[in-house]
Amino acid sequence: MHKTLSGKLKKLLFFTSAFLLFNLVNAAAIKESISGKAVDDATIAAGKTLFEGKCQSCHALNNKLVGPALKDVHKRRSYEWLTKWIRNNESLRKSGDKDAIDVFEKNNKLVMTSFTDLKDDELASLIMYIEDASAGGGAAVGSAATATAESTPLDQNVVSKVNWVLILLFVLVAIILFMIVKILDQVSLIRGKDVIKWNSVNAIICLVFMIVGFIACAWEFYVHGKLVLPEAATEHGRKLDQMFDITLFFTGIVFVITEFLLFWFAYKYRGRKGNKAFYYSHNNKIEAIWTLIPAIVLTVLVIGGLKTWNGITNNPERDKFNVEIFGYQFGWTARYPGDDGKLGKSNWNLISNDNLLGVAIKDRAEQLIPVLEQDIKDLELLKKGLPHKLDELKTTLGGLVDEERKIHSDKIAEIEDGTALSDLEKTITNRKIQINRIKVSLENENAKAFYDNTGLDDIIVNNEIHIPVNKTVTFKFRGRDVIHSAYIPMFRSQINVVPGLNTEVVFKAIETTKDKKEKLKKPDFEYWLICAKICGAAHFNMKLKIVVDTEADYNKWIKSQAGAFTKQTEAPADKEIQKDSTQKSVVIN
Amino acid sequence: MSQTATHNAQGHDDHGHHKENFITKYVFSQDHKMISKQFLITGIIMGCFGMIMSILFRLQLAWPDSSFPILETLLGSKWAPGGKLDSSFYMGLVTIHGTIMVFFVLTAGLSGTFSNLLIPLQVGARDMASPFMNMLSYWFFFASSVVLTASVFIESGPAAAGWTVYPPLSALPKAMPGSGLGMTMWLISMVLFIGSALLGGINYITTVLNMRTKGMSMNRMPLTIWAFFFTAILGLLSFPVLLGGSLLLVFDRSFGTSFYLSDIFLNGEGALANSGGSPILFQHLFWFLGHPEVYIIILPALGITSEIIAVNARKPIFGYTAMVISIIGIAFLSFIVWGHHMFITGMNPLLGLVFMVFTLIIAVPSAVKTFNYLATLWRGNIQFTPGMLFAIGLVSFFISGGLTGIFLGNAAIDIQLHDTYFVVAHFHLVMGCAAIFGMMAGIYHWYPRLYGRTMNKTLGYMHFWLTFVSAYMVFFPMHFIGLAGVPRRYYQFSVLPEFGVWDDVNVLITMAAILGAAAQLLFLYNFFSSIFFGKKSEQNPWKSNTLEWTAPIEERLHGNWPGAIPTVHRWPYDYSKPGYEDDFIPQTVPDDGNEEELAHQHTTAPIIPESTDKSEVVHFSALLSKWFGFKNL
Repeated sequence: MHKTLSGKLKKLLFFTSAFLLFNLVNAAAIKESISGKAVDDATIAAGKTLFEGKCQSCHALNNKLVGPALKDVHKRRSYEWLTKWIRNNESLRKSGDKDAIDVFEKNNKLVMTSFTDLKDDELASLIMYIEDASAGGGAAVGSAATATAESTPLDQNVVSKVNWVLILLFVLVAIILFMIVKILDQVSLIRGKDVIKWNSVNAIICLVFMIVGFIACAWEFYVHGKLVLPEAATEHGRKLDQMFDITLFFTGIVFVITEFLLFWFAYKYRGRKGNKAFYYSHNNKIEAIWTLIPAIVLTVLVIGGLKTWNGITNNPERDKFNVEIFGYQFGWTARYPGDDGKLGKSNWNLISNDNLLGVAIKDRAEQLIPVLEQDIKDLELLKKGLPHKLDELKTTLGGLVDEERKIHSDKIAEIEDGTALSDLEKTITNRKIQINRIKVSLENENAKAFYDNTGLDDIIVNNEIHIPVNKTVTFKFRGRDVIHSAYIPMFRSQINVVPGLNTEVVFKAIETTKDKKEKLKKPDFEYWLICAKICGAAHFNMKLKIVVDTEADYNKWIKSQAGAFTKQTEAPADKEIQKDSTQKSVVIN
Repeated sequence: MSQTATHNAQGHDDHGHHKENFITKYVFSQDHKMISKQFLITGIIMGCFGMIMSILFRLQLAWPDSSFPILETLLGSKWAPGGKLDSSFYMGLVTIHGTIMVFFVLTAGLSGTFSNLLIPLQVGARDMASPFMNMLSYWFFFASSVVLTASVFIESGPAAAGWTVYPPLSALPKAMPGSGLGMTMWLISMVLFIGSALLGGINYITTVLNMRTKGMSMNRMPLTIWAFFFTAILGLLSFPVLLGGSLLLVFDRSFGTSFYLSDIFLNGEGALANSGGSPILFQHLFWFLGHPEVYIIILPALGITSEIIAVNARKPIFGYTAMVISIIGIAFLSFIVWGHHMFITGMNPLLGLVFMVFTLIIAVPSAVKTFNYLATLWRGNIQFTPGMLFAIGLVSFFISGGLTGIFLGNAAIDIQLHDTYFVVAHFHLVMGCAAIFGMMAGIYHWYPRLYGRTMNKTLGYMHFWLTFVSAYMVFFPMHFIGLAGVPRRYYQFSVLPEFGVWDDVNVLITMAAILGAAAQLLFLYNFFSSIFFGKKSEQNPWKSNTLEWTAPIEERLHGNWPGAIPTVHRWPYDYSKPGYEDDFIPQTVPDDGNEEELAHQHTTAPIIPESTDKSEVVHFSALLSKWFGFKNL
C-alpha cells in the first residue's frame, strides 16, 4: 500500500511539474486544424472555455462518461459532420446519416443536447481545442478542475505491478495462517485443552484495540480535521457550524466514555476459571438516571436545532433579490432579473432549442407552434415509412456481423413488435398536447399576466455566476428532468431541485471570493454549487462556479451581461471568450 | 397448540411418519429449521454478490485513472471499456449493492434466518403457525433474489437510480439506461420480496402470540423473541406501503399515469402527456417503509446481541423490562420519523421540525439499550466465543454509528451533511456493520443448533478481528470526506479541485475494504467446511438457559422435541444466580419453591398469575398496561 501511495505522489509531482512546464511554454501542440482555421493559442483557449461550459459534464477526452471519449474525434469524423452533429444531432439522425445513427445507438440512445446557436468560429475553436488536447497540447494547461477533460491516460502499469505483489503476499500470509490454525487445532486436540488461552488473548486484544483505536481516532481528527470544510461563508452557515460543534461536543463525550467502558469491561471482566459473575439483573434507579440524562442532553440539542432550522428556513428577507437556478442533466444555468428586477414567468411546455429555460416570451411561444407542427409532420412521415424501412433493414441485414448486426436486428425487432410505431405515436400525441397547452396559455384569460414581458430583459448565465456580498440572496431552483440537489458546501446550503416543485434557499454571503482566497491562502479557491442527488451517469460532474463580489464589482459584472431575449449588437469578441458566449443566445450546455 | 404441532408430536412416536424424500427434506421443506438454513445460505450468497460489487466500485474510487484489464474480461467492453468501469454501470453497482445488502442480506438473511430458527425453538413450539406459508415465504424470497441477480446481467444494465429508486430518474427509461428493463426487474423483485416478508411476518407474529409452551409467558421470553416479534410487526405494517408505492411506480412507468411525474422535459422533448404528480410523494411512501426498515434490520441484531452477551457474560441481561420497553419505543417511534430522510426535498419546513423532534427522541431508547449492554458486561465472567466478540463489535458500531445519527437527525446540520459521505459512514456503521455483526454473532452462536457442529474457533477469532478493524478503517475516514462536502454516489472525485486531497484516503479505504472482503473468505471456508467436518457439538455448548438447547441438536426432528414440549418455569436469564452450583439454570428447571416467581421482578409482585396456554392474549394486554404504568421509568 505504501508503494502505491508514494507511487501516486510521484505521479502527482510529475504531472504537476508537467503542467507547470506547459503553463510556461503554453504552445499549441498542433500545426493545423481540420477546421481550416489558423492555429493560435487564443482560439484554443476560447475553445477550452466552450468545452468546459458545454461539453465537460458529459464528455471527457480519454474515457467515456455519458457520451463517448472525444480524444482524436477529428480523426474519426469530418469537420463538416462534426459541426452538423454539434448543432443539431437530431436532424442529422433524421436525415438518415449512418454515422450519426450509429453514435446514437452505441451510447444507450441518449439524445445529446443540440447547440443550434454556436457560430462557425466558435465551433472551429472548440474543435481546435479538442485536436490540441488530443495531441497533449500546450493549451491543455490545467488546474485539477479540468481533470475530467484532460485526465491522464489510463495507467495500466501501476495497478498490475501492485496487484501481483499484493496477491502473492496475501496468498503467502493466508497459507501460513491457515497452517498455524491447523497445527494449533491438532495440538489442542491431543492435549485435550486449548494451547492458547483465548479468553485472555481476546481480552488483551480488546484493550489494545481500544488504545490504538482512540489514538487513530485522535490522529484522524488531527490530520483530516484540517481538510474538512473551512469556515462557512454565509451568515446562517456560521450558526449551523456552531450547532455542529455543540453536537460534536456532547456526542464526543458519550463516544469516548461508552467505547472506553465497553472495551475496558471486556478486558477487566474476562472470564477466568472458577470465577462467577455478579448476579445483578436490574436497578430501576440507574435505569431512570440513564434515561433522563440522554433525554436532557437531547432536549438541549433539539431546542438548538429548532432555533437554527427556523432561522434558516424562515428568513424574513427572502425574495428581496432573486436568482433562478435551473438544474438539468447535467449542468446548471442561472437566470437573473434584468433592469426591471423581476424574473419572467416560465413553463416547461415552452422549452425549446431557442428557449431552453422555457421563459414566457410571447413571440417565442408563438414561433414554437409551427416548429412543433413541422415536427409532427416529420414524425407522421417516419410512421408511414416504417414498413418500407423494415424491408430495407431486412435486405441489408445479411452482410453485417457482430455489433452492427445486433443493432440492426434490434431495430428490425423494434419495428416488428410495434414498439417503434407506438413510440412514434406517443411522441406525436405529446407534441399535439404541447401545442394545445401553448395555445391555451396564449389565449386564456391569464395570458396577459403570464406573458407579461418581465422575462424579456432576463439575463441567462452559464458556468459562472456572481452575487453581491452582504446582501440576502434567494436562489430559486427549478428542474426539468430528474431530481437534483443544489449543494453549496461553503455556504452550508442545500436543497433538492425537483421538477414540478419550486424550491429555494435564502442566504447572505459574508465573505467575497477574493477575501476567502486570501484568508485561506489558496489562490485557486472558489465557491461551487454541485449536485448531491443521484441524477444519472454524470451526476458526479455537475458544477456551477459562484463568485461572491463586492457590491461594486457585482454591479460591473451584471452590467456587462446582456439580456437573453433582447436583440442587440454583437458584443466584442474578447469578452465573448472570457465570459460566456451564450449570453446572447439561450443555448445551455 | 395448533393442529400441526399436535400432529407432529404424535408423528415422533411412530417413526413411519418420518419418511421424507430429498425434495421435501431439502427443497420444499416445511421444517422451520431447514427453511432457516435456506434463508441463511441464500443470504450468504447474496451477501457475497453485494460485497463483490462494493469491491468493484471501490476500485474505481481508489484508482479512477487506472485501468484493470481484468474488469473488461469479466464485465465486457460495454460496462468496463478499457478496464475502467463505465459510469452508468458504477451507478448500477451502487444501486444493486444497496438493494442486496438492505433487503436480501440484512432483512431476509438476518431476520429470515433467525426468526425462523429461534421463534419456534425458543418459545417452545413444534414449528411455525403455518409451515406451508413459511415455505412459501422462502420461495418468494428465492424468486426475488433470482430476478434481482439476473437484472445485473441484462443488456441495458441493472437499475441504477440508487437503492431508494427516486422517480423521475427511475420512472423514465430515457433518463438513464438502468431505468429501462433493469428497473422493471428491480420492481418485480421487490414485489416478490415484499410477498416473502409479509408471509414470514404474519407467521412470526402468530407463532409468538399463540404457540408458546406452558409457562412461557410474554415476560419470560428471551429478548431475541421480543426483537423478532416487533420486527415482524414493523414489517407487516410498513412493507405494504412500499408495495403500494412500487405499484404506482409501475403504473407511471408502463401505463402512462403520472403519480410521481410532473413538468418533465427530457432528452430534447417533453416526456409526458400527463402531468401534475409529485416526485416527493414517492419519497414519502418509500421512507414510510424505508425508515422502519432500518429497525427491521437492526432490532433482530440487537435481540441476538442481548441473548449472546447475557449468555457469555454469564450474567442476566441488565434491565430486561427496560430493554423490552426500549424495543417497543423504538418500534413505535420508527413510524413517525421517516421525514428525516427528506429534510431538504422542499418539504414544508414545519414538517421538518416535527420529524426532527421525534428523530432525536429515538436516541433515548437506543442509549438505554447501550447502557444496559455495558451494565451486563460489568462484573461479568466474559467468555470470548467468536459470537460474543461479534456481539461486542455490534455494540461498538452501534455507539459510533448511532452518535452520528444525532447530527443527521438535526434538520439544520442535515442541510450540510445530507447525501454526503457522512451519511454513508453513518448508516454503514449503525445498520450495515452493526447488523452484519449481529448476523455473524448469531451464526457463530447458533451454528451448533443449525448443524450440530461448531465452527472453528481460531478462524472465527481471525475473522472477527480482521473484519472489525477493516470495517472501522473503511467507514471512519468517510465521516471526514463527508464533512468536506463530498456528495455520495460520485463516480470519481474530480469535480472540484479540493476533493483531490481525498485520493489517498480513498486508496486506504479500498485497501481496507479488500482486507475486509478477504476476511470473509475465512468465514466462508469456516462455515461451509464445518457443515461437514466441524467438531461435533455438545447438546448445550454455551451453557445457555433457553429452550432451543433442550431439543436434540444431533438429529434433525421435524417437531423439535422427541417427546413432550418442555414446560418453562423461569425467565431465561438466570445466570450465576447465587445459591446454585452451576452458573446457569435452564428455563425448564422447576422452581424449588424457595424462590420468588420471576426473581428479576423482585420490586413487584408477580405480574401474571400462573401462566397457562389458553389465556396468553389476555396476559399480553395485562402485561402492556402493567409496563406502561411502570413507576420508575
